[in-house]
Amino acid sequence: MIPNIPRLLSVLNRDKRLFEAMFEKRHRLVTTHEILADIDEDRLDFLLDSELLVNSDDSIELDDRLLSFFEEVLDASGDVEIGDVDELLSNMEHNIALYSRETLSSSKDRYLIKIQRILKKIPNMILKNLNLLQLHIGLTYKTQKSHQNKIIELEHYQSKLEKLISIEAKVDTVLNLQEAFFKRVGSHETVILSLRLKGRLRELRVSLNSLQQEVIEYINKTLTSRHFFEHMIKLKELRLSQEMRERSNVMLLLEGNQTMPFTFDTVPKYPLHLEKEYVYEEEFDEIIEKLSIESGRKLVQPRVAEAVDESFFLEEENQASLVDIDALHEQFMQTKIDLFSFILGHDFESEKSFEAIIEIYCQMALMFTEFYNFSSQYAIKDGFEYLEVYSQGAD
Amino acid sequence: MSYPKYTQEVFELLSRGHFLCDNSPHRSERKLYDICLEDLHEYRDYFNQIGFGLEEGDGYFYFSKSLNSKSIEEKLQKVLEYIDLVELMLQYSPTFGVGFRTTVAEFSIAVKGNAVLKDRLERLRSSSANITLHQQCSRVLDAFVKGGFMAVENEHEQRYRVLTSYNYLETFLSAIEVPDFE
Repeated sequence: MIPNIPRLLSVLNRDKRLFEAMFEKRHRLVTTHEILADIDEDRLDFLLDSELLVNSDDSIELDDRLLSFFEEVLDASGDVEIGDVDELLSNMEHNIALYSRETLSSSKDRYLIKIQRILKKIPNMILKNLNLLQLHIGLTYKTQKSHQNKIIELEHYQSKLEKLISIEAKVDTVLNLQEAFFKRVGSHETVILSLRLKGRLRELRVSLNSLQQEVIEYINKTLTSRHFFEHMIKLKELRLSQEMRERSNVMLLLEGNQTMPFTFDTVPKYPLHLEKEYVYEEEFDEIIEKLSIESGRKLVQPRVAEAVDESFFLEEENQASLVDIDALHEQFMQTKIDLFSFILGHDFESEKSFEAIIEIYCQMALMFTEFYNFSSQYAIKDGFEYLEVYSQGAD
Repeated sequence: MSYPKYTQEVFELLSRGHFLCDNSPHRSERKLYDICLEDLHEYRDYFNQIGFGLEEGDGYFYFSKSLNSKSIEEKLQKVLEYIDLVELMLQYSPTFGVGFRTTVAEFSIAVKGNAVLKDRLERLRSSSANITLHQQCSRVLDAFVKGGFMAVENEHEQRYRVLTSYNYLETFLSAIEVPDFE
């Protein structure tokens, strides 16, 4: 047994690495052999005698009080301890009763300090339990693979949550019942703490209720998915016995359903929308070839015409003479005669038919409308009536 | 005529038989889902005019069209195929459902150590071709992808995710009434 705090702290400090390791390994068995790798046998005996470590069978663990102390101070306990809040509450009531009966001022203060400590501790403990429950519920829902166990675990946490909710309500009731005490008590801090606790409780109530909703939803979802699983097993049996069509309503469902996704029907075919410009890119052929290999289709062989006879290239070239309309226009702009007479009188490289002349006339009249004056005079040539058009420079 | 802004993107995705899911691994698709949800009436009106029904489900959209190009018998075969696939996945993991993730490697390891799963998978094999277990598992997951109920989340790891569109499949399969077995 260690006699005082300085001695305790010094022992803890000397073997701090060991205590740290023991705390980290608190969820598994640590063998004596493992411990002896860090400290010698005498030291181990001393720690066992001091009741900081305990020996059970061949395993060594931290003493329960030390473990709880570490867990509490470091807020590292993963257990949901709702009963603790209840205990704190009854302690508070007890201290309030003692405070009210006590006449000695110094003793009154001692009770008050205890009450204040509890007032501070209650919301933290509810919050800690709420956080832990939230964590456990989420983890169970997401990681527990067996439906059966998932439901059992979720229901277990649901009952813990319900207890926590009732404790929260109890705290509220106690605070209301002890209102006379809080009004009477001279300590400003105690009043503030009690009011703050009431405020915190209101916040916690909202979170508790939403977690309760969540856990109910999780349980329902798990039940639904368990039902679905069982349903699927039945469907599979029916399928294996080839009785789906006869013994289920699947045909009715399919007949009456006009809004099934394409995966059950046929994906409509659409023409392939390739960027038209892409056809001219160099790698186009390569890509088409690749696609055809991937899709397992054969490339469509383009129909190729027969080879051209060599003699074709030996023949005289067939030249077509083109009329440079722009040049003609430029020349016409310098003249004062009408357009048709100008074209008619123009010396073309090759001889033009009357129809070709008319075509050129029409083309120029249309192309250079803004440069020409269209008179209201008509003239006749070879029985053909045409409008007299002059260049604007002719005025 | 004015039409909603992302009509082309939505059309291109849905008209190919895909679903638009709010848990798609692709951000652009999730964004399109949100946009559709926001302007549902506009999109629905627009697509109705060109002969497509924009159907809304629990976390997904899809196109319907009264094609009826496949016979009821062919549709039934498709349903039976999904019964096999979904049942196999539920045997693999009872938590199989929207948001479920798995890799081909995890799936094939589970199959290797489970005679029931192995037998189920063997029966699903459509061809007698000699393919590895890994390939068989990959084909099962790809069948879900093809149907629009799963998406590849990570190509490198071959990790797949069950999309919200799976809700459709679950609802449909749940609606099939099965008589109680004596």
